[in-house]
Amino acid sequence: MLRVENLKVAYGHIEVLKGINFNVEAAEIVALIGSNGAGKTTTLNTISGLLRPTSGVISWKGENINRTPVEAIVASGLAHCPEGRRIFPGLTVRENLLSGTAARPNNRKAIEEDMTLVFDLFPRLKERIKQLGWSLSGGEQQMLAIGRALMSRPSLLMLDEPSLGLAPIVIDQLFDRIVELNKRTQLAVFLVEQNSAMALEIANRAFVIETGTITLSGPASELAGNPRIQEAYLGG
Amino acid sequence: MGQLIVNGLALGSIYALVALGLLMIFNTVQIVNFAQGQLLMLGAFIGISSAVTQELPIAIAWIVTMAAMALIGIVFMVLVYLPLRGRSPFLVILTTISMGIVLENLALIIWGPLPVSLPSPVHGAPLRFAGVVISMHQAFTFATLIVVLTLQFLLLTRTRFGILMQATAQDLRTARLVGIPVQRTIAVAFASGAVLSGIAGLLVAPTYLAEPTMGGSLGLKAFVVSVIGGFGSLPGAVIGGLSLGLIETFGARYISSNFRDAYAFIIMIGVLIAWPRGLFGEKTSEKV
Ligand SMILES: Nc1ncnc2c1ncn2[C@@H]1O[C@H](COP(=O)(O)OP(=O)(O)OP(=O)(O)O)[C@@H](O)[C@H]1O
Ligand SMILES: [Mg+2]
Repeated sequence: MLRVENLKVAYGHIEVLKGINFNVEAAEIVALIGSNGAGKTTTLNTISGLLRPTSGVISWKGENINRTPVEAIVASGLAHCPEGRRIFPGLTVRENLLSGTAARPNNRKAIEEDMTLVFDLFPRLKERIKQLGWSLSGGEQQMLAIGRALMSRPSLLMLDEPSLGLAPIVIDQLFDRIVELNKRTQLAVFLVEQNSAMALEIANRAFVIETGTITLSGPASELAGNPRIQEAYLGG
Repeated sequence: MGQLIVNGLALGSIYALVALGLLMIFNTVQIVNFAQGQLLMLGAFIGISSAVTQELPIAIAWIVTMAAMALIGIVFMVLVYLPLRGRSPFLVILTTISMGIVLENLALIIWGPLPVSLPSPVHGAPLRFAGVVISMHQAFTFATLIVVLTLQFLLLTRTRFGILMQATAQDLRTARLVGIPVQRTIAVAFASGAVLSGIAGLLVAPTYLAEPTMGGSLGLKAFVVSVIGGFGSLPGAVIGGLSLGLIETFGARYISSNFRDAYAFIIMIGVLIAWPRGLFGEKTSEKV
């Protein structure tokens, strides 16, 4: 469904992605693992159109989206839940969710229905529906950021370090929800994580990125057993 | 006394309208447009050109002016905002100030330095209550302010497009990321901000006459009014505007008319000492 071929991205003259290849198919959970500065966020930003590649091809549902405008990419079913959550601080929970519908038709009934689905997934958000974004806890903000991404009705959800800064128990619940969503709706998930134990647990496949190059790939269970991974990313 | 209140509120309505236009732009791009007063001046002169020079019916002149102002707002965005997007806010603010000067000189060349008048869109005998006279034009000015405030409030808080405009203001990059067509929300903000200024110009010109330099102090006062109200707040801008109109009118009558233009700044400093966020400054945990 998403196919990235020989993707190169640079900030000025500094090449950050040095020709990476991978794919994500429908209904899959795929993890991208790497340490600080490896190029994970750059990869996601390039796929969603915030950054443009210097070369290579990003193909989404069979079409080259290298130069497609961001809002058209979102409208075509590719949602990006950014690093650091980035919810709108001065908008309420409800308004933040509504902002996620920007790229789809303004059909009130359909939007209300989808909001109900998000509240079913994260009942905490419903309790805080009128609360302003900045006043939510980190876990609630992450739920809201995911909910906002879901409001665009994606077929692939890209998550950038959703576990960042959250307590282990909150991460557990969050990942349960992600798996549940994937099982129930066949939503494909592209999960970027630095702390990879959890990611490898829920993913079907995984890739490891090191300084802009993909160095390992395979079924998640296999990677979790790989001694190099255990040493570098799973704390020995 | 009653008469002073009516006159003060009529003047204050103008300040409030310019401030609402200022907020329309600020609430989407976080930039204070210091040429807002010059946009008002353009509105007044375009109205005069249409109604007086071209002899169009006044209602048509209003429509022509509003359409022209929407266009001018977009051109303003293309010339001032787009080239400097992402640069230091100071640079953008300085550019809006320079743009104001350019517009003023342009108006001087096109329309000349002499004050001109514009007919009011409403006629008829003034309303009288207990010795207080409310001219039809004053009544029309209040009504316009109420309509504009209501429409703007509904747009920003009750429509999806308004929410998207707010999101654009709060985090431009994330707004793009979630699929908001930010180019469009920003264009609408500039267009409607300019239209609001234009309407204020059309309302000022029948009472105070129009001249190319009329915008400078009006634009600054609109800024002051927004600061008093708590920058970003619509009710704050309106209450700030009306209060300033009252203070100036009463001040000119009972204290001194020489200081008329200074009251605004004295009050602003006073309010900011007492309430650093302005009267209606935001930051509450719930929104109703
Ligand atoms: N805007 C930028 N300008 C210049 N260099 C950048 C920019 N953003 C990122 N980089 C550099 O690109 C490299 C990859 O950054 P990226 O944010 O993609 O890493 P990451 O894998 O997401 O790291 P983290 O786990 O810390 O989020 C880093 O060396 C970083 O310094
Ligand atoms: Mg990152």
